[in-house]
Amino acid sequence: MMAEEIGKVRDLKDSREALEKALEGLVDEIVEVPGDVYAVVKPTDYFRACSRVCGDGGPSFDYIRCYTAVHREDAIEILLHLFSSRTFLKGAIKTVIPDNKPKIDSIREIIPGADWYEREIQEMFGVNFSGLSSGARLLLADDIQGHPLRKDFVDDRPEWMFETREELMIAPAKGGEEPEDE
Amino acid sequence: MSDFISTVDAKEIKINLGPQHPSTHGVFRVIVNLSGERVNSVEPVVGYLHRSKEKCCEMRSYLGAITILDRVDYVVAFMNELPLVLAMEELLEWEVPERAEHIRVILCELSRIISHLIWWGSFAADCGTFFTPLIYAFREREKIQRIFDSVCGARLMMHYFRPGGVKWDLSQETVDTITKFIKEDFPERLKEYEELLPGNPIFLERVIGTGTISAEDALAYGATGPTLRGSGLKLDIRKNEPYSIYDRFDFEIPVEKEGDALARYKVRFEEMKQSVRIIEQALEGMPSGEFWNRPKKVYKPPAGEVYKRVESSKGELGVFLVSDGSKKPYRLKIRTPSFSNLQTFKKLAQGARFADLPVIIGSLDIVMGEVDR
Repeated sequence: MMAEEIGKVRDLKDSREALEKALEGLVDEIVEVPGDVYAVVKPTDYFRACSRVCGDGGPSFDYIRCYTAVHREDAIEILLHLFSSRTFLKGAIKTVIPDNKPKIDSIREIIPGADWYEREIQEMFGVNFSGLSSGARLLLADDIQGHPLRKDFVDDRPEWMFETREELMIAPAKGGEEPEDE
Repeated sequence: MSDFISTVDAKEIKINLGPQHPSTHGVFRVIVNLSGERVNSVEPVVGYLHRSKEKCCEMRSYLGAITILDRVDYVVAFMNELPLVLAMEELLEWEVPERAEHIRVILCELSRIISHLIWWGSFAADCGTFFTPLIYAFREREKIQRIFDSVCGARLMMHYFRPGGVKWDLSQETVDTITKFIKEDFPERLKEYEELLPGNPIFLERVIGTGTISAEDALAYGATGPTLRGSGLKLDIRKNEPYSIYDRFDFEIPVEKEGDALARYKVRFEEMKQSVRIIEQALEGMPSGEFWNRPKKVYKPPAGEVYKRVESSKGELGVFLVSDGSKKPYRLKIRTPSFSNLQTFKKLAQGARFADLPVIIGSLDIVMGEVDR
């Protein structure tokens, strides 16, 4: 007895083509990573790019797989992994903003589920999203200073709170060899 | 009754529910704006359980990160480890022995059964049964927990999956216990549990039409898992984008069209049956031999980034891993199903009755450890 046919996620080649077509004139480059295709756009084009790929006709993305940021040296990468339940295409929109003036448009008008993700990125990375539902902290306590997931975050809590030292976190090497998983 | 409610002309009042309240399933606060008994809007407040797990992972070795992942959704620890392990295997380009794949599938599906059982028990308590289903659920859960104990020596925080396989082999004794549980004990019990509540008019009164959401809304808010499938959309990562060896098994994706609490209830029960089917097939086809492609040295995935997702008991559970080639993850984002599923709550609560809020929260099956991370 075979199960009823269920849609399979389509090939990355199709995603690449669909992204290229939908973002014509907006996309800087298309990057392939294991299991995903990134369309890199300028921060100023971010909202427009998202509304194009989520609108009808193109890849028709309607669902956020993952929405996050990565802090690298002096820039913050915003990464939005998308998926479409209609075309079964997947892809991601990536944009890079400088970390001293991180500002970008919120996309919650396009996909309402983006709201909490953006609020999380706002407090963890200090990225200002224009048009968020609330400026209140989502996860962090009110008295935390700074943005914890930035690489330059300095934890100013007293030292006794860090009894677990670096050496304990990576087990020291035995006899000059790096430790095995044991 | 409904006429009476609509004629109450009270001005809007604010009521605070939680953060310490039995119906909120953890530390979760809701500010409810009420007019009469109708809910105008709700403002969910989360973050009480926030422990900066993503930051903790960045400070630890990859092995240490697996222990952190265990603590994200403490009900189904095995499933939490899987996306990180898959992501590391993708970067390391490591093969997983056949036996280990089967072990992983069996343990993940047993976890799904545990999760749905706990959900069933606590949801029934939300709907007014006085803990009988919860005690029943814990009886079956205990049997599975003992299996887990014999597999890895832990009942809750497993730390068992490794890149390239699993930490220990499954003994023949454990395999026999699982086989007996899956073939003899559990299906009979499941049938009994399934028939326990849906014949009860009081229960049905509370769940039919409560917390209805359309498929489009559910998807737009990022809902996955039974919450989405209860609204009629057939999306399941095990079928759409098969990971591990799920593409080899014959099972179905249960879907209900109504989108209310009862639909989600039915979907979860059907899923337990499908899990039993998967475990049976995995046990039958399990080969002997290697169970772990052991590393020679400490794990150091080459620089790169990858997003891996699995279908946990609550929906899409993903890990976005960025490696810079060192011993520690450069960035590790944990995408949890409860976080997105809870976003639908704002929509679900609009226009509901105040007394239905616990049922709506319960039907979403949220684990606050997963929302707050």
